[in-house]
Amino acid sequence: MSRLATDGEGMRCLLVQAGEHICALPLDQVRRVVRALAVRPLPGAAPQLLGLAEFGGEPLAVLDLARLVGAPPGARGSWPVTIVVTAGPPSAREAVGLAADAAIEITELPVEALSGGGGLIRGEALLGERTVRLIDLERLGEEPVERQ
Amino acid sequence: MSGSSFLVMRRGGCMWAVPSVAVDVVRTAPRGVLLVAGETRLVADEVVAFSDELKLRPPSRILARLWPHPCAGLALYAGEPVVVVDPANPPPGLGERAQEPVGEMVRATLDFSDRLPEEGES
Repeated sequence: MSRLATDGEGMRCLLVQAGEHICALPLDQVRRVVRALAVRPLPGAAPQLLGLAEFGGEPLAVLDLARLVGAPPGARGSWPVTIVVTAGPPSAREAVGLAADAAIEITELPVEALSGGGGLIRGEALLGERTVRLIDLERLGEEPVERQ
Repeated sequence: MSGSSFLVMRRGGCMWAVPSVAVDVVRTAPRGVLLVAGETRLVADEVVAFSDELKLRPPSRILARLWPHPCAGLALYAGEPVVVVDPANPPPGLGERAQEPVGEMVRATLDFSDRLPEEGES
């Protein structure tokens, strides 16, 4: 389990909009949030993979976060972003981009209030009136691969 | 492979590269550019460059899982990502086995029957 970036009461997370879901990304695994990167599609790729982009002088795989978590499509974001995160198990971390509709805010997520979950979603919690889904970035790359 | 010469091309919105030494023929075609590498015919929208400055990185584990095609590595050219492939085993949309022997392809390339008319000719 990754070290939690907490402030004592919860896990510090970046909230992002992905389709109709609000997803929480552990802040200690978020490297950068940038305006949506230009992505070059790869023929024959799984639908979760949008393609390749350039970031920081390196090629970067960019994934569709809404698709990864099975979120219904929402309203088109007015300021789509790419969140560059470190993903995978601690012994094999790698940089990957997550395409999202918008970055919302940084907040504390009460880990003890998480329930449910499955696959990439470690659990869900209610923040105010919003249901937030905590994403388990260590499991990114283990989810079932959609085939076209 | 870093330090070797690569032919960089564009196909379907993405940039691809193959080792230059593997390419036997490059010719224009109705669909773009045709390259022959051994027994394989590659189709490109355009040839971008010959470069000996591509720095190859291995594909990430996550990329390999979501795009499970043989890949010699990733690189950047002019700020764009490039997928370096083995011309003998191209990914979908990039290549196909040649329909005719390479020799015929080379003779076709050298065919001047549709050359431009010389001065004085109609």
